[in-house]
Amino acid sequence: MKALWSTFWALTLVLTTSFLAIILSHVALEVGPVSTPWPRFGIIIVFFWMIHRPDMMTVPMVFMVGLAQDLILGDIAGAGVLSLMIATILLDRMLPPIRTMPLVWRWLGFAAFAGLVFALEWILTSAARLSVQPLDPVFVQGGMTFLVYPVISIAMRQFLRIGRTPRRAF
Amino acid sequence: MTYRILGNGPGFWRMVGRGVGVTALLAAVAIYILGATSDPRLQPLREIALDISAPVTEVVGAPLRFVRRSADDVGEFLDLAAHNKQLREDIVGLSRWREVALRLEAENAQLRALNKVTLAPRFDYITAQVVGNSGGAFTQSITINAGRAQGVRPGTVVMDGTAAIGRVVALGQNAARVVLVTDASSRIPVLLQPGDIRALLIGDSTARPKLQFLSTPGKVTKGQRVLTSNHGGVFPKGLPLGTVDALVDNVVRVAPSADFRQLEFVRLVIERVDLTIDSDAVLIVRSDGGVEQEKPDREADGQENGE
Repeated sequence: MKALWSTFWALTLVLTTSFLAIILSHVALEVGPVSTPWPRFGIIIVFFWMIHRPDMMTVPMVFMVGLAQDLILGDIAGAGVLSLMIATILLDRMLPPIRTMPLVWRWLGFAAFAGLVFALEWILTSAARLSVQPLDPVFVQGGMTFLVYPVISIAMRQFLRIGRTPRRAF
Repeated sequence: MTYRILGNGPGFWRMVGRGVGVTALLAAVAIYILGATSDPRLQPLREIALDISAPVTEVVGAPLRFVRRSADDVGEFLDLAAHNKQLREDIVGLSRWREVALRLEAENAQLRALNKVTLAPRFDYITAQVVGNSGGAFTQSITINAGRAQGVRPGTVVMDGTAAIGRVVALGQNAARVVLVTDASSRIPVLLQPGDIRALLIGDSTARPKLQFLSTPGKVTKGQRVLTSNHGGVFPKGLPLGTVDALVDNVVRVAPSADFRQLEFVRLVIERVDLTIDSDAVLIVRSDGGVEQEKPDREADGQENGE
């Protein structure tokens, strides 16, 4: 029973933080072509839970988070979710070793993950629009997302009292 | 324990996990195909997402917007002297334009009186707040807190007060998504003035959309005004969009008139439908798109029935 409750709370936490992360990416502080692209917090949250609760961040969960992100942010539906899922599956084997590593290594792992997600989404968006999309905003948003990762990771680990190994998480 | 994203545990559960994972992947591919072809079957999903996310974004974003506005206020306070100087110069310039406008208004009224022209207002306006944006890398769109319940319709034109900034592409009950003129999917038929040059304003995710398919490319000059032309029927004629900014390598770029940085509230232009339809009236749609009513001749009907 205790294990069931623990799983239920973990699932609620993963879903809530994922939804809030997408909403945070959606907040309009600046608008339009001259605005600074805002980080993609959804990608950060997916990677964070893949590291700390891989049993929760499964392919169907990545699908749900990615679809919610596409629909809420108004991107081409499916481009974000597909790139997130492909990156997740491709990097699945890379993740177990870095789960117990220090932050710097996890940050590098995130760089590979986010880089792959942005590259795939750029390709899928360009294919859907039948024209090569500009790369500058993608690099800026990718860079912003990369820089914000350690801040979010440290804050969430402190707040949720997460240790180094996934089994000891909350 | 090592987790695998496509299925864990002993044989049977691993197969179930893989089956679910592969199904989700195929579903994502199907959604991408539907999304890439702008299939209307995704519209209900978009509406649900809009209606759920818009109010939450408004609440979550409020403290962040407050912090940003405060920072802007501090910055403006520090630049007070420069602002004052700029405003004084603007007042001198605007006073001259005010005189011109008053003269033209009087002349216009005189001419209308001579011709006995009465122009009925064709549009209603709704003001809405910008609550969300797309983030910027792949799409340039905003979410506003007005939707179907407030009378917004698909294709409704959105302005920042003076210039058109985009049109509504997805509608929820109390929220709508507006694709900006700078988005890569935006195509607007425009008219360049002076010169009456027709063209297509095409967004390419940069700050300055480009003009293509110009009717007389040789006559384009820097500073010409770019207005909507109503070709295609989505945008009303004559709404300002921007000015011709640069001609580089045969590509004409337009600087939008809207100040996207200060975009907190927007104005939606709703075309007024003033038809009052009687229950037994007949509605006729003319070939030019106009609509008119025809009432059945009751007396003639009565005679025909042998009364």
